[in-house]
Amino acid sequence: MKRSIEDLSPTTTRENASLLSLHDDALMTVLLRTRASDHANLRRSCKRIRDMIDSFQFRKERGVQGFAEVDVDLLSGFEQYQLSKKSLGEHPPSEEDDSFYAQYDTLGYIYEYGDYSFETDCFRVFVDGRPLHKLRRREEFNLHVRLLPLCAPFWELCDCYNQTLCDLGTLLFTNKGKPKVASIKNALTCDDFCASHNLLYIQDFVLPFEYRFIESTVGPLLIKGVLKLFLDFYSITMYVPYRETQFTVEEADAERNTRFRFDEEKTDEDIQAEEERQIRNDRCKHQDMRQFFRAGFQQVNDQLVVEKSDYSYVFAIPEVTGEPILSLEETLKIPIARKTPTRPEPRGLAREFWLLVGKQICEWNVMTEELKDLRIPPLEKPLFAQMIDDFNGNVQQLKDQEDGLSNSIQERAQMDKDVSTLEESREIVRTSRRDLEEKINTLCTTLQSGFAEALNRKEAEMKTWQDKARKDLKTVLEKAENTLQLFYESDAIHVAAAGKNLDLLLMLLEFVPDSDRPMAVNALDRLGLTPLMVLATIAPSAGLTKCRQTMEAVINMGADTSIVHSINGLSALGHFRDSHEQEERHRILFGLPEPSVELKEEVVRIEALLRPADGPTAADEAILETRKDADSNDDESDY
Amino acid sequence: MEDAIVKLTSKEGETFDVPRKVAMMSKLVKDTFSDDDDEDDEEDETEVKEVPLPNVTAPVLKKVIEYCTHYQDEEMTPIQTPLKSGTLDELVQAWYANFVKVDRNMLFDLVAAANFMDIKPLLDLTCLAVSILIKGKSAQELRQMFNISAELSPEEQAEAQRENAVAE
Repeated sequence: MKRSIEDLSPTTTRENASLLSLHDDALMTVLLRTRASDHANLRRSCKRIRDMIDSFQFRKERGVQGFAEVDVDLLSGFEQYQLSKKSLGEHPPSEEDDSFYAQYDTLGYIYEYGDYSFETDCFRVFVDGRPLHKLRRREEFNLHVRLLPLCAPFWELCDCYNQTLCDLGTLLFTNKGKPKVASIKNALTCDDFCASHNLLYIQDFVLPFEYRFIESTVGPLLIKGVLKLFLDFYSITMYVPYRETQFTVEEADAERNTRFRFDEEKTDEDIQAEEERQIRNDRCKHQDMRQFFRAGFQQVNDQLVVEKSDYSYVFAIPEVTGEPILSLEETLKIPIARKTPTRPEPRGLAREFWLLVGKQICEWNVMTEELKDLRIPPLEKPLFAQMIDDFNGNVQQLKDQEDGLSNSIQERAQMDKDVSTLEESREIVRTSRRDLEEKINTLCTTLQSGFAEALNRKEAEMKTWQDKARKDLKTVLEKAENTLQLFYESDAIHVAAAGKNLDLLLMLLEFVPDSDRPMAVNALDRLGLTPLMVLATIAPSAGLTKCRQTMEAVINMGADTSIVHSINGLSALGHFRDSHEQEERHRILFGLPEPSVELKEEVVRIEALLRPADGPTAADEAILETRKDADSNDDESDY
Repeated sequence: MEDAIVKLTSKEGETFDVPRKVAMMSKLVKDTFSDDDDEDDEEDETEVKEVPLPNVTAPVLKKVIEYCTHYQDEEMTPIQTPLKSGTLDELVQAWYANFVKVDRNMLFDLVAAANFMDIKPLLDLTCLAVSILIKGKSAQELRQMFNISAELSPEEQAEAQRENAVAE
């Protein structure tokens, strides 16, 4: 098959023209522009052409240069039914099946709330006649699409598919699927949804490697194909690249080989590698989104949503199916909205300190729990109280028996009958009752003294532990050139607050020189929170009074209540309100009793304590408004 | 500048004088110029340049120049992909459709020349013509048409036959 350059040269005079006289690159150029329907015969005509058509390069170039022909089809409801029966190992059903008529329509299986779920199997996807739906390995091709009604049970539906969509739904839509985000509202032009009030959710979208290039038109064409399939059934489409993305071959391999590590066993190199991987993943994710941009999707660009959520997502309305796909240059100009990045994990000494504090929180909290348990008088513990109750019951029984015998003795004595046998029996009962009473007494004393002893021991242990903890902290802190810097980098104070260990928090602050304290108590952690904000967040679940006292202590050290979180615009007060609201919602949901008057007063006190110098921020106030919203929504849904 | 001439030399050594603007449609020619520009600054601008094209014969080169010249007057409509229609006349203007109505030898030579000289619209047009030739032909017909013979070993022939049987 090898030919010399002369043979290949077009100048060679020959009788008959041959396609094969062309150089490889020229032949490739010609073949790239042929129709997919001719590929089968071309492949059969000769080996050189077949090898070329079968090559990765050929498929890639067809996609990149826009020659690829993409066909997407949805299996009919009956075909889907057959498929599901087959996967259960049942016989292929007939069309007369009752369950088919009851559960399926032309689109497929109808779920409880009238939603649909389409897996890779439900589609027939051909790229240049190559059936992608027959590729079995998951990383090669994956397409999951949901059709969800945008009405009352929207959140329940989202939640059963995934948390991401549920969170997103909460951010984007309020009651009954009515959009609250301006860009989506505009997209739907407020016609109160001309289409069928459904959300088409593209959950997974992974292409074979040869089509993953950002230049490839296969992705956009396939997406358009999917949109066309459901044209009459949705009013908005959404895609969130979050689980699987269009990794390159190398990236997919690397991803497979990464091993999960606990925080404790991570080295600085691991963290660096993780960060680098994160950056690469982001790049893949963006490439993913560009494919959707090319297919005509837009991005939700409301700052409020973008800054609040980790996800980047895109949406489209039915009209985009008619538009041509955008060129690569055009899509590269579309900016991708991004959440402000957070600070990376601490490293080196700061990491050591961070881990130490984390460990101490756990140990300390466990001991505190144990102490709390020991402080409860043993007889008030349900287990022991039950036991003593049982014993006392037995005593009572014996007493009753004794009384019964005494009565009988009296009766018989009046009749002058012999009572000696009865008296003997009564004596036996009386003795055993006294024994039992004796035993109960001993048991109670033993329990009490035992617990008191255990408590003493535990308290001593706690004291030793605290001394050691203080020493451990000191050892690490002494290694640092700049104590304050170490606190900045390790977020130790925030970690202690988040771990609800307020004693440790105060202990940590003892290590900070007086002059540095205001700086330490106003430091921002990786997520941009001040210690006060963290305290405010945990307060409703960690004991309001104790938290209030700690907050007061921290504020006395110079904590500033006016600092506002850079992303969500909440002050510490806003964080408290947010957390308190959630707690309340949780309480109502589970039908728990109303908080006591003292606790309500405590809430008012904390609100006053945390009030920023210039009053609550707009975001702080907005939290209370959302409650009103939620209330009115609840009213509506009652109908 | 407008009237600058480029000399294109065919394999046989025949030289064609081509207006610079026309010759510049070939990315190969364009690159030769810009390479030189880098080296000699603006000095060569007025000088008549000669570009040897050892892979292109005189008759083919003549056709190529004809195409490029016409392109200056009437730009070819870009060919929409994936192809919507099966006939040349529906996809491009009449002049271009007629331009590629040549024998197969010439057509393949044009493809090779367009590929070598890197003239995208010409490449698109000639490849389109080839793909229309291929359209709907069986493997046997393709083999005859493109004079493909003995390309497959007996085993491969058998395999192809099998595939054939499966496909049909």
